[in-house]
Amino acid sequence: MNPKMLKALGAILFVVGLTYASWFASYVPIPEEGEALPTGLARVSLWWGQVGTRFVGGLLFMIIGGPLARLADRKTRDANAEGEEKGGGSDPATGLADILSALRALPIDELEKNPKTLADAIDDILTEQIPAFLDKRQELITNLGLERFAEMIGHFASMERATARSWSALTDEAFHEVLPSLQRAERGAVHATSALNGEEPGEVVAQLGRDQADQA
Amino acid sequence: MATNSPPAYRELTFAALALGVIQGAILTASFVYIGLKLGFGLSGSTVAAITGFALLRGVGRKVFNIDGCGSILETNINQTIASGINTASAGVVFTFPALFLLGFADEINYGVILLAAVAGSFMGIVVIIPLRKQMIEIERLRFPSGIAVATILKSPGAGAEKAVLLGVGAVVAASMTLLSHFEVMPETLTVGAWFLDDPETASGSTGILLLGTSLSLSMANFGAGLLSGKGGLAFAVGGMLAWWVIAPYVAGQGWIPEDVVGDALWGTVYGSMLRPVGIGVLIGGALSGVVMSYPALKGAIKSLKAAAKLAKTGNSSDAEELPPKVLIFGLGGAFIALFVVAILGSEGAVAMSISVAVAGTIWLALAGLIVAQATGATDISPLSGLALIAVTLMLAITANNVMLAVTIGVAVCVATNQCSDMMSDLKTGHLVGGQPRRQQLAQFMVAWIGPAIAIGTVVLLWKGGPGGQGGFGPGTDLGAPQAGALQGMVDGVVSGNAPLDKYFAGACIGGALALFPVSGLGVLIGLAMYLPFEITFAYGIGCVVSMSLEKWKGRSFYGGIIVPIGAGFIIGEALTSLTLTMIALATGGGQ
Repeated sequence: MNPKMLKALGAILFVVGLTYASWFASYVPIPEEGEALPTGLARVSLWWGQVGTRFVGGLLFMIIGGPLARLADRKTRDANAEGEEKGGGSDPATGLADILSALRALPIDELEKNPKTLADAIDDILTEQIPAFLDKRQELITNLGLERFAEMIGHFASMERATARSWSALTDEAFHEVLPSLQRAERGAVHATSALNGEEPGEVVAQLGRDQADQA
Repeated sequence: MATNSPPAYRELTFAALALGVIQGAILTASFVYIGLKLGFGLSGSTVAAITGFALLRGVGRKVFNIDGCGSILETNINQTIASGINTASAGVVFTFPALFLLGFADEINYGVILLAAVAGSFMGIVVIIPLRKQMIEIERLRFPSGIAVATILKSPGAGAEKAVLLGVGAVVAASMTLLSHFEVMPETLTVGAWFLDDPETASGSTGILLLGTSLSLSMANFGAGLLSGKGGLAFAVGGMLAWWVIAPYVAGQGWIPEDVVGDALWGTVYGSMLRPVGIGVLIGGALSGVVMSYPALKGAIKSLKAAAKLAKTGNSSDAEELPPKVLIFGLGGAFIALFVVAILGSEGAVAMSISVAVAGTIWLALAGLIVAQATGATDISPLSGLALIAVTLMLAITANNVMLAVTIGVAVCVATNQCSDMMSDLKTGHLVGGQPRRQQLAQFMVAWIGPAIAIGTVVLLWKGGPGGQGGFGPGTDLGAPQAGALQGMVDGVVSGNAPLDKYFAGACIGGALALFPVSGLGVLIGLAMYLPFEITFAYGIGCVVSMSLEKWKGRSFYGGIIVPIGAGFIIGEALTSLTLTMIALATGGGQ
């Protein structure tokens, strides 16, 4: 069965099960003739005795449908990954490399002469390139596993935050803060790349601002 | 020749701290009053961000000539502090007044209540240390209010177009709020009821389907949906499931007596069925969410440790996070505080006090997780439902010791609200480049202030009544509806009427929802069942509009147009509601 049909089947079973279980979860048990509605666990027992089997039936549909949908997603991601390997499609690692290149290519020499140019370039990284990389989040989780993904994304988020900080500093005309923030962003991007490739993050030699430092 | 080094980029400063404390104190007292009157809390982040900017940038820079005063990051710290203090107002108002309504006014030990609330306040900050990475960095939850505040903070550099869009959104929302306030237009469109001959006698499947279908005209609600986009769609779908599928079925099966019609039918379906099941789904969904995301949580804690190590060996500015030992000490401290509260409240019953402290600490952490996830995905917090559960749980453990159960409820409620507020502020910080550690430290410094002011305000208002008591409650200008709901629940549990079957069934469903490959689905569906449909419907329309526009116009349209407009809607409605309430209270809405 192809992944789309498998996903549809899983989703249908899941939604039917959710609906069915919710109906009977909402049922207020009816006490015996002439008796008050019991309280506490006795009320749970009464409810269970009256609709428990049907409720469990709904749960079972969810328990089958949910994993089917997950399996379909995994098959789709595996197929996409294979297709990208063959066709040279966009690899998340490429997206990260693009961000690092964009950071290193920022017009730092425009810092005080024309800060808006630099701010616009930083804004482009924040609003276009970073979200484009994050669109591949699910694919990365599948490929790396949650634990390694968490490690990678921690470095990525540091990069993101440092980049945002540089934009804020530019807006506030705290020009001395901009380059150190961008260098931290560069470091974060390099560490994220190492984590993506399964390597230990090593020491990072900042390339950002090297020309300025050489001149000074 | 000596060179002058440039001043440090202003972030955690005395000015931000002092102004934040003053704003927070004023907001807390005001919002306690509003909470007792209206039954809902308000977030102080938006107000604090705007006034902080005006005072720090306008007055600090131009009047006092403080170089660089009112920077984006400094204003972020200011609003973090102000909202961190104010957050206690909702937590206290939803729980503490219930003790007065239940007749315990003369038995309250204010020191114990304060200890519980302060413990909750610190606990709420501590619990989100590992959650921050999980929710903001890994799951990338939107936190619409956090985005709205970041949009305000970034407005000086965002260009005129975004500022104009923000303003347009705010004006539209303010206008709609004013029109509702002066009853030119309703707050809610009872769309379904238009198709009924007589809504008051509506019954059966069709009756509840149409009675339940209404649309809130809150622009803040719609704006939250716009900002959430695809991530919030499950919430809207959950609302449709609850009111268009489940409610008609249960009414059609004859599970509700035939003489229950109109508003009573709606009340029965919502109060006895959907809402308690929704609370159960929230709990089950959150628990199973923790299990499913355990590898990511492990990774997040590992990266916390790595960051702490990096901070020791290298550049201290690389320490972006409070170290993991703060979490351990914080949890330990909260446990001890809850134990002391329990010992004092139970007159020395050690075994029970240990149970209370353990259960209270665990529930507090879980509730914080639920609320942070719900707020992150939808901007809506199921605070009152979680407070009800906390008190129910404590009543069971303490053999119906109402005073102790509500006291622990105060701690849980304050902690939970602190969690969601802190997460939203950290999202803002993430977007503007603030250092999370500084925000967390700032909030730590002032965590004790909000509870003290909130509790003091409640006591003052109670004693403002005739003969020094009865200053709020049914029949007064300050109806205290949330505390009234808690009072009703306590009476119900003490008499044995808590719907445990609903909580149990809902929890099973919530657990199963985690099996589907959509993050946080249990929390979203649970929240949708917990709330009236008018809220989820409006929010869902916002999600669909956002998704459609982003698909049609591209991603840059979302950041450039949708975000400032959506943020404007939230800000406009919040500020207008607050202003109208203050005017009403000042001109005769008081006692």
